[in-house]
Amino acid sequence: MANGTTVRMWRRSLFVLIMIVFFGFSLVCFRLFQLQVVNGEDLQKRAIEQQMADTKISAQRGTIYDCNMKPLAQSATVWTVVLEPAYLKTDEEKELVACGLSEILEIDKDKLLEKAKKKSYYIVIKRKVETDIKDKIIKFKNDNRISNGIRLIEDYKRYYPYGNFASAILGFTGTDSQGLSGLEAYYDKELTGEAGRLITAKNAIGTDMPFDYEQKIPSKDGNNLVLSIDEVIQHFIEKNLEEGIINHKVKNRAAAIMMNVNTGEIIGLSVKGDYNPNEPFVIADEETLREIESLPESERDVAKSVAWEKQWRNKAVSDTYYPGSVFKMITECMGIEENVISENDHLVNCTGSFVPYQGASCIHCHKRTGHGSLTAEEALLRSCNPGFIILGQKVGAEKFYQYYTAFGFSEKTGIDLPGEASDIFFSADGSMTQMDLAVASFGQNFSITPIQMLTAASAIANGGKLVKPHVVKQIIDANGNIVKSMETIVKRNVISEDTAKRVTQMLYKNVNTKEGSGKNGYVAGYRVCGKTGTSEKIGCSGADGKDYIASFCGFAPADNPQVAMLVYFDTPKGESYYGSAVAAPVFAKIMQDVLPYLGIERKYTEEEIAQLETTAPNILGKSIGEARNIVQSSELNPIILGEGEKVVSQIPEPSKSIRKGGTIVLYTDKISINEAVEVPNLTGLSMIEANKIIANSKLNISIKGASMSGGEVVSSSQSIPEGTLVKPGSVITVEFIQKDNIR
Amino acid sequence: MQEKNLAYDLSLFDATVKKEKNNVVELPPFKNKVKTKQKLSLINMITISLLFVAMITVVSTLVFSQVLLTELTENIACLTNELNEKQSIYTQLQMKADAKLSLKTVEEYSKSELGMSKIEPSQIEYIRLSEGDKSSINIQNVHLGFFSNIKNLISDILS
Repeated sequence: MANGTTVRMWRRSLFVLIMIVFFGFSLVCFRLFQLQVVNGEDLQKRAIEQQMADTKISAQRGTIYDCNMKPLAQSATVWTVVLEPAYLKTDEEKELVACGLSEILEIDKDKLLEKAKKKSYYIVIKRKVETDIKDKIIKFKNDNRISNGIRLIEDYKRYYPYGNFASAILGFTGTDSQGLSGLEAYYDKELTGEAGRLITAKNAIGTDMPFDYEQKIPSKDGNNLVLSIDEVIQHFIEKNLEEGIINHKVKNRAAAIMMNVNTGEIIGLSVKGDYNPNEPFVIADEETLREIESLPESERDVAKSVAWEKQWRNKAVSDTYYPGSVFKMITECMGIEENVISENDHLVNCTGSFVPYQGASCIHCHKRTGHGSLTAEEALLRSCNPGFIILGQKVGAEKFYQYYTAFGFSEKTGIDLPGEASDIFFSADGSMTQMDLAVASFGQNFSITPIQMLTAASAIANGGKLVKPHVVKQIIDANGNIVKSMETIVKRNVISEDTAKRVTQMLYKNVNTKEGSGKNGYVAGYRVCGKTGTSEKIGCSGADGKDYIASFCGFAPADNPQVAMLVYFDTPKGESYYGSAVAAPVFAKIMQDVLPYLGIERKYTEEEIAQLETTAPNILGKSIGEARNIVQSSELNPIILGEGEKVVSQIPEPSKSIRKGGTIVLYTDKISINEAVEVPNLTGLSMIEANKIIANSKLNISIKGASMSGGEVVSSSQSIPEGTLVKPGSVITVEFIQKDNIR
Repeated sequence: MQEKNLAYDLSLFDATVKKEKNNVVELPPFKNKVKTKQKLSLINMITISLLFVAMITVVSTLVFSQVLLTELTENIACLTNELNEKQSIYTQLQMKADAKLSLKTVEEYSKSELGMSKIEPSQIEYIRLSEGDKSSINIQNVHLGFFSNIKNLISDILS
């Protein structure tokens, strides 16, 4: 009996146990199902959010270097100051934060207080704040125990250390470091790079646990650009262009481009009337700013937009102009290549005007009295319009357009800068009327860009090859490895080498002989070739009549051309508007600086050697007799002042330059050193007159400019102003320009 | 003599003396058993202790290394941030220094403050460097022996 009771009890107990276990497990399974299947996705997301940290690794924008690896544009980390007013509960906290930030960031305290009163977790107070300011904010937060309410978010800022230097090429970036203009825009993809991601597990206090779980996609910093621009050459161009704008009262900006004729590398490109890319929205031109401020409030925004667009515009690439007489070198190439003329063939009998065909209007030459009988070469040297009308007629409209296309004027050059404009020809298919051909022959009534003109001139310089211009030489990655190298691209042969040489010779004579119209582009010791241009701006007339563009295009040295340059000034309103008076002297000054820098040796002609400067010998401490002998043997004239026996001082000082036949003043006592002479007026004089006045004033002259090219020249400027008191023997640099105003 | 009653086996009704079952098993002396038990417990204890210590050591090492890793990771992150900051300060300062030393600024300063002037053409002297003397040597055809030819052939192949 005891046995039966025990088994039943056991069985009952077992059954209850099984039921309890079954019931319990059912609950667990149900809950598991609910969590894993029903809410599984949502819970997984929340778990990942809670346990994983997803950090964006931002990529640094690439640097832009010049050809010598000098950084012209570079990015650095900065911070955005963000206010989180929702965390500031009390008025005291808001007041404290507003006061502190206002002092550090130099922002109006009331405006900050207003923002602090809003119910928001994100209000941007100031962007692009540098490290020193950021450190002050952190110190302020720590001192006042502010944990929430002010946040600093990392950002990047683009620095252009040289201000408006090369601004037309570099461009600028926007708030999100995206390129908006210039190379920054054109190569935005290469410069931007790719942001990375770092996904790590984080512990309860929010610290990363990279050893537990980590997935990293590294960021790829942007590539760097190495330009073909040389900072030193760019400086020479910018300095002289700025001076030219001031001296000739240029109203609508100026541009200059220098190119390596063999490779197409742009070694300098400047547009003046530019801006500072560190502050692209600040209008740089004071006159424009004054005009905008004088406008009613409602019109200011539109005026500002127009002003911004104007200052950002790259005139060398985006603006078209009538090339004027500079284009005559192209027409000359057409005639010689087609064998319709030769240099010494008679071309025209210029009477000052010409009727291209029966019933046509009369077209005037710039010399209204006429040049008389001219050969083809002389027509170029004198820049005779009727001569080129005849030359154009000999070539013919069809051939003219063929060469126009071959020289690259009917297509974009493909330069790696944004906004390149196309030409505007008489018709889309290149057909021309007789009148069109007549005016086109001397570069009027069709528009091209300056870069197109320079590229075509380079084709003449390099023996007939049309090369593709480019500003970027190499693209390198953050580690310095070359990603891409820009090779020289020769598009086609335009003219034969023989034609190129013959036209080069003519252009050389244009600058270096008295018959030439480009004498103001002369540089002693260098065989510079070039052509002046003065083109009318039809349809853009100012209130006082027509406006003009003064330009000069040339290359050097003639025997082995290396560089070509185009300089052009839009609307000069000074004493002259001619290319020969405005653009050519600036061209010469730039070449004067650039050619020695490039290591191109000066080769003086005999005439030039005779007029060269020499260095003053050192005669300090010598007796009067000895000093006189030394000075005279150096082909100089001594003037001895004072009562002493030995030379105590000399002007010019030893090793200073002095013109051959110049005067050295020798002081023999300290009293005579105090003697001074007044600098006379030396402008508007011929060379002989200037020399005479200088000699009579016991001063020395250093001659620059078109003086050695022969022909009628007048002095245009002097280095020391009239009326200044200087020591006897001081050297005054006088610049001479060609007197004739030739287009 | 017992009377036997065959009809009744009265002997069956006689009180019998039950034989005691001798259930007692003779065991070995108690002493030995006690000694073995003691020995086994000691070994076990030592083993278990050692195992315990080893386990504690391993767990502690694991925990310590995790803590160290966490600390080092934090340090690395801090130092990386510091490095990035210093690099950006360097760039900012470099840009400011470059701005003060632009060619324009240097030229103006040297002219106005230092009284310097541009180099004159007469101060430049061009020097032509010779490219070095060149000479050509005529190598005469020399008749080599059989073994020399083989040697040259082998060295040519090997080179």
